[in-house]
Amino acid sequence: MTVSFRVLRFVMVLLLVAYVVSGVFIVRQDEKAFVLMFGKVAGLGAERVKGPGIHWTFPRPISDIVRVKSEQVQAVESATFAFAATDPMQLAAPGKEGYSLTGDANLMHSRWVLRYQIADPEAYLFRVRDNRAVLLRELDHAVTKSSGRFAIDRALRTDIEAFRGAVAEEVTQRCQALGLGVQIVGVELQVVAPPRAVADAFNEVVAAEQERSEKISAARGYASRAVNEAHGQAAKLLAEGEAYQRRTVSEVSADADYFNKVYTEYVKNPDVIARTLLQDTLRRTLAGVENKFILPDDATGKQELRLLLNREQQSPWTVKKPEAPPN
Amino acid sequence: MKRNAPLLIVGLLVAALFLLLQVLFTVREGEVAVVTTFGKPVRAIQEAGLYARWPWPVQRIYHFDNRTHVVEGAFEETLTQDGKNILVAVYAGWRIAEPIQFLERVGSPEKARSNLDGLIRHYKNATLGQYAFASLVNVRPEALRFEQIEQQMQAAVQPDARERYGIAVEFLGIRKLGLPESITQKVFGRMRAERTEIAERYRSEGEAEAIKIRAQADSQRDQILAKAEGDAKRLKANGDAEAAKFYSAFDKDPELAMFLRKLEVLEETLKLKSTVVLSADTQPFDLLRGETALPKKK
Repeated sequence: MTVSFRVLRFVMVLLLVAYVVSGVFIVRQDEKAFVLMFGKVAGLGAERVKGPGIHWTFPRPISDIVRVKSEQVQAVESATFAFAATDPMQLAAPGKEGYSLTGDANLMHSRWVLRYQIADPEAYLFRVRDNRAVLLRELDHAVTKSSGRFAIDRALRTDIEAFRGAVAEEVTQRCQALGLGVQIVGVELQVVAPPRAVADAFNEVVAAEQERSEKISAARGYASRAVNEAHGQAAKLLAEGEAYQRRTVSEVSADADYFNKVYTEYVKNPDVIARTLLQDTLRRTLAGVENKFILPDDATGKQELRLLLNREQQSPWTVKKPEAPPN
Repeated sequence: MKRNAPLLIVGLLVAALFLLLQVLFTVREGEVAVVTTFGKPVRAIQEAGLYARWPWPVQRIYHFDNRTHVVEGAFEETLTQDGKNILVAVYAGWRIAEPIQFLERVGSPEKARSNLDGLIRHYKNATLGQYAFASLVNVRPEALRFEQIEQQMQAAVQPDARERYGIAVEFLGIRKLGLPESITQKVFGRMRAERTEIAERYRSEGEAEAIKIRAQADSQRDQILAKAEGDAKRLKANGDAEAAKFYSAFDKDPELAMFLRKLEVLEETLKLKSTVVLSADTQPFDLLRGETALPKKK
């Protein structure tokens, strides 16, 4: 009787100790925790949030522990405006494929990722029931709203960063205003594409733009070559002109000089000078000619043939009676 | 008796605990509890903690998630003011504002969802019918009324939701816009035509610009050459004009000048080792006559 009572007391004490010990809990490095004592968050001010380490509180059902991953950057993906990758012939249809409307009432596909961190754990846990559902809808809302402001060319090609930035700004503002307790780390635009049914037409535009700039650049190349060649040609013409000018002047002036010199002497003694000049020239000139046949046409009808044989010439020539030369 | 004492103590403890559980309840953080006495709601408790109650069947406690819930309407067709069909999906965030009223009128979050759905659809149609299509999507931002439409919908839904269901609509937004399938085909056709036109335009612009550049270059080239030719001609003319001055020297005795020229030509022509057969009449070989070739005296 007393034995069983003592045993019972021992067991009870043991149970009590075990119960108390079960109130120990560990908060990991990437977590934060709250202790709900009878449902209410225990502690005041900064004490309310339990950081990493070992803690103790009253075990259940008195206290309950709620944890939240506060350090991790988490992601919410939106495929709301994306097409399914499987069927290439499938055209956009509500429910089957997602798209957004652009400012010029065209359709566009996009895929997004929103990255966030929990900044206020208490707000994150106790203010909204499904934070990720809200974040996803806010992201989609930002895409819808921003998409409706951009023409498809801008959102797809020329101003992609402005488009992404507009979405990021909108979603950050909204989440701040809603007090979700999250910090938006970034908004990524993973894919942006025209509807597949018109993708070819869009590619054609890019190709045509390329073609245009190539044509213009080729024309510019031609232009600079043509002008350079022309300059070169022009310089050559001018140089030729100058050379002609110089040459002509110097030639004629030289001729005039020579004439003047000769004339000065000639006037003193014309006969002698002329004869001398003639003979000098004849001598010089005919010395260089190998074979000379000069057939005179005498008014008397007689054929007079004068032969001047080259000094080096060996064999004599036979003289034939020539015919009257044609006039 | 003594043998039963420990058992009795345990039994009493268990009984006491059980009793305690019947007269106590907790309200968790983020919860709201409505206490009903004999079926009639008497009070709502939003503050988390431990509270006392009468056990069932006297009092019954209903717990509701007091946090913000998200509800989303179907992606449905709505008619805009200018008669265009547009698909709109609206989502909203709501929470229980009047717990007692909520219990009486709604009873559960599922019911709240379907009630709100109807309310939102009604005001969505009503609001969008007041705005043109171009106020939802437009490349000119000043023409957009996107935010205004959302705010108007929320402002319309809020009082109704509160009065009827004790629900506060905290935020409301348009999640996505779309076009009916029959229209999307037309849109694709238009997009293709637009793109083709743009591509054509780029190509013809490129062609035109290239032609222009080449023509300009050709004309520039022609100009440069013409000027250079003109300048060269002028230089040559200058040269000839200057040279002409010297010709006056020959006026003193033109025959002498001619004679000297003949000598020059003769010498140049017969420089090479060649065979020459000429009539003595041929100038300047008339010089070969000898005496008769001398210039006449003036």
